[in-house]
Amino acid sequence: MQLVLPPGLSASEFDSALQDFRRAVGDEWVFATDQDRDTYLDHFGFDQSAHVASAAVAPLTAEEVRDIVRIANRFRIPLWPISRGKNFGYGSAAPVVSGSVVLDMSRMKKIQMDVDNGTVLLEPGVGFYDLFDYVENNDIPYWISPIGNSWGSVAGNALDRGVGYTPYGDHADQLCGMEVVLPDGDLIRTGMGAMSDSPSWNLHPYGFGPHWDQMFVQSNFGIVTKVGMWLMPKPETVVSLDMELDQADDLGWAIDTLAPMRRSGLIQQSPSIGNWLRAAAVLTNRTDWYDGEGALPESVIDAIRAQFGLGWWSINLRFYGYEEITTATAEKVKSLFAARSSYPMRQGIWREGEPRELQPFAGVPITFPLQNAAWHGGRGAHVGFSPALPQSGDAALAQFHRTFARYNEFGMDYHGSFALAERHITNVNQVLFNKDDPDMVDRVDRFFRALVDDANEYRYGEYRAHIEYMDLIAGTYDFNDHAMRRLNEKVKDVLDPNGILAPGKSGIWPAAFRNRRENA
Amino acid sequence: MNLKTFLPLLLVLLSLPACAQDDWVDLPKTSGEGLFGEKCGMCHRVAGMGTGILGRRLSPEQALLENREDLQVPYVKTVVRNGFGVMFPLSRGEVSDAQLDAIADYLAGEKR
Repeated sequence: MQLVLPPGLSASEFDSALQDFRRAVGDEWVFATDQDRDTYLDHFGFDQSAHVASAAVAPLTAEEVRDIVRIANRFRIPLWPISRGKNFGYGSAAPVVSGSVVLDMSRMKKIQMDVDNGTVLLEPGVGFYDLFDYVENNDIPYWISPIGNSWGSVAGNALDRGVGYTPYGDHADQLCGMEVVLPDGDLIRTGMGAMSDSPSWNLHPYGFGPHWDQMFVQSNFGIVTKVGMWLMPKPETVVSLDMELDQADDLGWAIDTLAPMRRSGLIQQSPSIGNWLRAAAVLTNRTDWYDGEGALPESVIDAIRAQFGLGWWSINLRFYGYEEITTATAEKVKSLFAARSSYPMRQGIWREGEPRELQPFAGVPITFPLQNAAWHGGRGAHVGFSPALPQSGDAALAQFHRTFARYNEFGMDYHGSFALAERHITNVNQVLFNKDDPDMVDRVDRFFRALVDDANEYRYGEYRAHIEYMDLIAGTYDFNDHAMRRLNEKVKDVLDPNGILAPGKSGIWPAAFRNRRENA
Repeated sequence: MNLKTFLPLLLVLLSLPACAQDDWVDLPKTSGEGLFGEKCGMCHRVAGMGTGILGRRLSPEQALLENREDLQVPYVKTVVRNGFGVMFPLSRGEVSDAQLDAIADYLAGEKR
């Protein structure tokens, strides 16, 4: 990709800034060739040319991060911090504002484990596989909570409110203490970390006074250089209950059956109810089933279900802990389902010492689910729209019917799931497309915006957004004429007066770049 | 996600053992093999996206890069830096030039 200079900088000023970055981190760790810029594009996005880095700089320590921030302030260069840059479907490593310099923390990979307390202190470059290898190779009696596509950074995922499948799957909720470089180069530690050398930094989340951790989640107020996180003690058993729902409208009663179990704590992980395309798109290509235009017809859906033995929806439940408790829990759950349905449930048990399933439920990282990106052939891509809904069967069913109709209207194949958190549902709608098909790319953009409008009408907001749609999503959070945006941007302007840190991230624009907001 | 349902099928398709834990060994990450495990293994070992897609396009025997005997150093380096199909390119921040040299030498040479 050809050079796009940082906004307002001349070529010679940019060269001077690169020289300063090289002095800070070493010549080897500043990347500014056309090929380097290509490697920081959004490879699963549909308009790569809209979000292009000018260069990247890869520090090894928090002190180097501070130097980079000071240089960026001197030259007024926007930085786009990434941990590992694997936020696929949300922008990968690419910045909102073209010309930004990517601050790539892939090399920062230190892990410090407190085995007695089950906490881990991580730098941003530590990926799920790195942490899994570390824990397993050192026989540490805890499990990690991997995500469905586990390339990414453990810290980065938690900071974008990613979710996993074990009882520790609300990753932002497992954060306990951070180290953060502020936009002026200052360095802070949150919670008990504010007390030098406190042994409780990653144990007691709050410290004394205001608790700032959430301020650095999905924001552009600081660069997180260390996170404390809690890990789940290795369970003695995992009991599984899997169920296929034959009819699309079974979704409603299934949600109403599961929701009280989630609230009472009978089910401690977030069950996800997903449709038939999940297996087909991972294991096969679309042309194996259908060559026609438009969304897959019902006859093909039936064929896919028959081939893989799937319902319209599948439910997978897991119970973790001592065998007496997990087996009793499974019996109670089965009896509660039996009151609503005669669909059979498949039950299994894993006991400590046995081989684990290769899947995130079992604390094992995987990446094969993203084989679905190849569904349409060519260079596949995907984007997700995931609004949060109340935990109601009627609400979920209405949302499903609206969304399914939109998929059909735009000729896209339905790929949806409903995950039950403690008190809400996240409705994940994945959109698989071929980025080399201009007509499809155009449809995907219009389709996505229609989904946002539909959900917004019912006041359902998305929990996380692709860089292309951050303004769109932030705009739906509109109480009192966007009072939250005003607060965010007041804070932004105080902490980051030069606007150098990730302008536009989460729809938060510093004063210097505010005219770039979509529909500003 | 509904992994358990179709995992056995995936494994049959790839003709791979049902459990991978025993294959994962802690190697010094300065070696080509260690670096392959750290930087590439997530896609190109068992349960990886690359293994699955290659298994569909080529033969199951060729799905695992470490089984391949036809890989050459320039090819490996070109694919890593440019991407290929669904595979995304890797930056020099993630895999340095020196690390890529070691990985390419490993894949092009005698393995294991």
